Amino acid sequence: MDQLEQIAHKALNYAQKVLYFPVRHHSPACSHHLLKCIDKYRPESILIEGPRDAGKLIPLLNCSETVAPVNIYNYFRDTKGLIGDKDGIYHSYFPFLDYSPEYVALLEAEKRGIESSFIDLAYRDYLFHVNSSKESYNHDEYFFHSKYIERLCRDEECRNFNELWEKLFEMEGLFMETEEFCKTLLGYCLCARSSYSEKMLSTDGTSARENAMAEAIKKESSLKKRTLVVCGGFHISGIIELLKGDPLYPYVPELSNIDESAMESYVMAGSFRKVNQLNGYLSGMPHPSFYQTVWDNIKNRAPYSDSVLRHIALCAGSCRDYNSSVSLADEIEAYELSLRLNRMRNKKCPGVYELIDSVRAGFIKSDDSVYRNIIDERLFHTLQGDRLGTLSAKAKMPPLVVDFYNKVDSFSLKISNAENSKTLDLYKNQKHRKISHFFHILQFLGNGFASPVYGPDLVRSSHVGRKREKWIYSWKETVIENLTENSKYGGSLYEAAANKVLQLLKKRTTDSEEASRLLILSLVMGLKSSITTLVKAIDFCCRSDRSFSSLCKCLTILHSILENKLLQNKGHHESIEHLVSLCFQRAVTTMHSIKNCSRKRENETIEDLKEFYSVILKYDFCDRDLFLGELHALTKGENCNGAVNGAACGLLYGLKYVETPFILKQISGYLNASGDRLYESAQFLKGLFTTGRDILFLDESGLISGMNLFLKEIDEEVFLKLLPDLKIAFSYFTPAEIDCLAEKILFLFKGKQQGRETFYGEMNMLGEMERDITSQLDHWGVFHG
Amino acid sequence: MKAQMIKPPAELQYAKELEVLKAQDSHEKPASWSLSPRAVRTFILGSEKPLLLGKEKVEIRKKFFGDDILVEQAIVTLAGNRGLMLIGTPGTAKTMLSELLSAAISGVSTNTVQGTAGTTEDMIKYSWNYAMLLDKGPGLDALVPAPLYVGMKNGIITRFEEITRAPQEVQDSLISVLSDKVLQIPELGHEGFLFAEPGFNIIATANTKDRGVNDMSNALKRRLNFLTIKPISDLNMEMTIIEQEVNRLLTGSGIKHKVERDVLKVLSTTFHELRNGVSIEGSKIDSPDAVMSTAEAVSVYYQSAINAYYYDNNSISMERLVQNITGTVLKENNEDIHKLKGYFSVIVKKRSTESSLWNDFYNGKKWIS
Repeated sequence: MDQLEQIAHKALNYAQKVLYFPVRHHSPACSHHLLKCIDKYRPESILIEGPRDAGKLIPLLNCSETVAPVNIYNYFRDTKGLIGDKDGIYHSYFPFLDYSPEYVALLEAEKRGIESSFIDLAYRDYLFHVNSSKESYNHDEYFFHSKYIERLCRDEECRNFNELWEKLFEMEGLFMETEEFCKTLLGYCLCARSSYSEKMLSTDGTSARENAMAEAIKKESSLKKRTLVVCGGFHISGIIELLKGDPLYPYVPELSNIDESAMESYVMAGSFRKVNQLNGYLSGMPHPSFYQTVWDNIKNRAPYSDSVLRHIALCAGSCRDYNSSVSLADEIEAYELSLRLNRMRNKKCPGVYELIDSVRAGFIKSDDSVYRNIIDERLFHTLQGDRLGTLSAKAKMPPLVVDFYNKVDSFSLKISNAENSKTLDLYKNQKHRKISHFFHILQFLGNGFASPVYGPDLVRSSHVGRKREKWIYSWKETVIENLTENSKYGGSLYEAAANKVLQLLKKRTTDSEEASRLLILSLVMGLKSSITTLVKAIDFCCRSDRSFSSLCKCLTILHSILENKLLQNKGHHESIEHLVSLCFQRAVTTMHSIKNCSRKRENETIEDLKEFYSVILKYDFCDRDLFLGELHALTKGENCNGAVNGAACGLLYGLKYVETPFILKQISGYLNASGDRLYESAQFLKGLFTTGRDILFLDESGLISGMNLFLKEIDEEVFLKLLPDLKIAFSYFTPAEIDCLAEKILFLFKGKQQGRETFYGEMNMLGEMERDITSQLDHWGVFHG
Repeated sequence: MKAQMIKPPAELQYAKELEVLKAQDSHEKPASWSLSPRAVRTFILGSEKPLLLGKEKVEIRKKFFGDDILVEQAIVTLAGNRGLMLIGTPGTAKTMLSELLSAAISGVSTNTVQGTAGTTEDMIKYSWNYAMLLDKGPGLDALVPAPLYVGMKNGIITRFEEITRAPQEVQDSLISVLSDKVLQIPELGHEGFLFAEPGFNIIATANTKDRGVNDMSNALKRRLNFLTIKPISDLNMEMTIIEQEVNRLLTGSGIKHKVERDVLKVLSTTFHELRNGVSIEGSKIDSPDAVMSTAEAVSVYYQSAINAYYYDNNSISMERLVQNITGTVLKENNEDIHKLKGYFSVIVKKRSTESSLWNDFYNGKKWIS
């Protein structure tokens, strides 16, 4: 407690040149007391914990046209590899809500004509000291994770940190004097800090940040009589300690020769949805709409009760929109429950957790999980809110956004909230192809401007024969938000997409399938500049990839690029053919690995084998003897997966590498197997019929009668185990082949004529039975498919 | 008197805890409540420190494990205008919670209606002593009060166990009582109104397996707050509960048996995995239709302990445990036995190589039939 008294005395002394105001990000109570503090202290300057390089954005944030939620968005393209890998791309957000103390400080300073500035490390410098891709400066995690806080939660009977914070600071804080509030918060932060060692604080960049802030405070206080520092309560003791010495801005490498476009800060319009901590954004705030209402009414008598009441009514309305029968009586009950819960929990007023518990108890009238989920989903949606921020027209647009507008203009696309459609003739119209590239790039960047209705999907190899593409597009507020976020990748859409492709490529150093998918995707997006790099990357991937499946798929994709007119590119035809050859060689040399493939993967593997075979037939430079040799090796020896063995036999038979007796011997081996090996017989047949089903129709094979004998001998339990694979095995036959097969089976049993008559007789009987059952089910009113 | 009971009601079993809580309760109480909502919470969820009754330290132990917030929701519901409906799968301690709430709020937990297919309206409201009725005509002397009447007259909780097992028209007789807090007795003419005293409310329970027996009208649903009790998800917590309950039962029946923790762990793990349909290692398991609740696990261990005490030198045999588990699983349908066999063949077999106890458990598979 002595330490707290000392820190509080130093931090909260209105007579001193520097006054420290401790805050937690997005806290209405902190903002409420901050305003009182500014009024009492009347500082000449306000220093705020925020990225120093975003200081130039303060006028824009203060502009009357700017409406929260807004974000400061920073990015840094590490072209020199100062942080990590060369060309690494980093970004961070610094969100502001109406009730974020940092934002309140900025606006109040503007109102009173006080200078304000950000004093934290610049984003690039922060990254350098953290040595990782931190997406936030925010330090709420210090509040969450500490043994002290866990214990406090238990003692205060709170389910989590957020409830504890609401109880102790947001609610009780409103009834405290400002000095008492700040001191309590400082005490809390001191306890939280005690769980962290100096080493931990140094590793996560906290020490460097506190040094930077201390250096700025020292400089400013030498010039001004009264300086107010608004920063996280967690840092204040650290900063005060540093100011006993001579703090310096932490060392960072020279910035010379770094392209200016490699780092930038922008103000972005935000949304409650995005800032909601429950959506996984740790720097955000849970239930932003609830606390917005509290902030809007903070000077009223009961801001929390007002917010609870308002959100119960909003939630009930929202539930009714979803056909949930929530009545006015339920709303009254929920509000009364929240008041009673509040009294029992000994809180100053009902808060968001009393609201949640009372809505659940009062609105849910069943244990049906679907119904419960609807109420919960509506409740949390209501507490989140739909509010969107707006930016001033003066806000600087990132080059990527400018490029987007230019393209929209040049393609004569409409910017409206209404849904527009565009049908593109991909083969005949050059401009349409460019529009297609534009839409594909936006889709790849995760932008919701356009979405495809139909057209060839060359990346997934579906509907590749289609000549036209149809898109629907419409303007949404999130379009610009998304483009600003993607500014870290580059200043134009082509550059951003190409850089994003390269970043994805970095993560897949040995996966030739994924690398080839990125190549085809780049071609679909018209990214010609990326092709050379991608070809090199695929070359590297193929050489390091040891997966037959991945190499097979890579080969198929490369083949589809060479086959498709839309994707053909004269400059790269040769190099892609070279990749096909390399991929073939690598796949053949890894073919032995599929011998022991698992039951789970066998269907995929035999399909790969079949596809591989069909592709290599089209290229003379693919050495068939090499392929046949490896195939034959699969059929030799023990323990080959039955399905793979069957598929290999089928291919060998198709390529006339082996004769009918070889296949029959293999089949016989499986059908007469003992123990668990017997179950592999259906797997073998499945594999065989995938690649060489002709053998079944050879009269001399005797395969049908052999299978008949086999099926007669096995008991029902074994048959049921074999059935799934047998069903797949016979699914490869065409209707004409099935008909032919049926003839042969009938002949085997009854002789040709008699067989057909019996067959049709039995079919008629089955048809009648089905009709009777259907009519009875209809009579009973029982649903049937 | 308490020693002669097989299962004393909560107000007797925890008389001392209730007494000390009442003595030290400084919080505001709803009209006619024995304890404040805060003290009711402490009674059910326990207190870290013992409370002083004179010089005696009385420990308030935790009685309901799982969802503390649900307990709070239940308490504040009862302080209001609506009744409380506790639903959940069988064996999730709905009845126990209902009993604890009644004992703490009204000081009595025995004012109870048991819902069955044969429950009639007069079993809930009131009936008549026909001899007196014939002798003196309709009057309060001839009226035989049922739990709803008693609850309303004395301002106490009326418990309605397994409400959905009672026919819907019988359930619906609660609607007017919950709305207007008045019970009409037409036989008594213009004096035939019983207005509920403050403190009266209803706690109903229903298990989700019985939902199909008798549905509940929307009108009644609107007058109740529904709280769903989920099975305990934490294995260690479930073990603690089983141990606590088994000890209570053994003490009650005078059997001196020390609960074997390692056997208990095998039993709890088995119930936990069969109920959740997934093993601790993440393998999928076919869940039996039978109720694999904590209460059933208590019963299986208790049965096994009795066997051990009388026949097996007070040491639990794993074979007996398997026999008793089989008995529990066989309650619903014969298909369940295959599911139990499958569980032993895959999951238990794998563990049998890791410990002798699991091996003994696996060897008990022969009794599953």
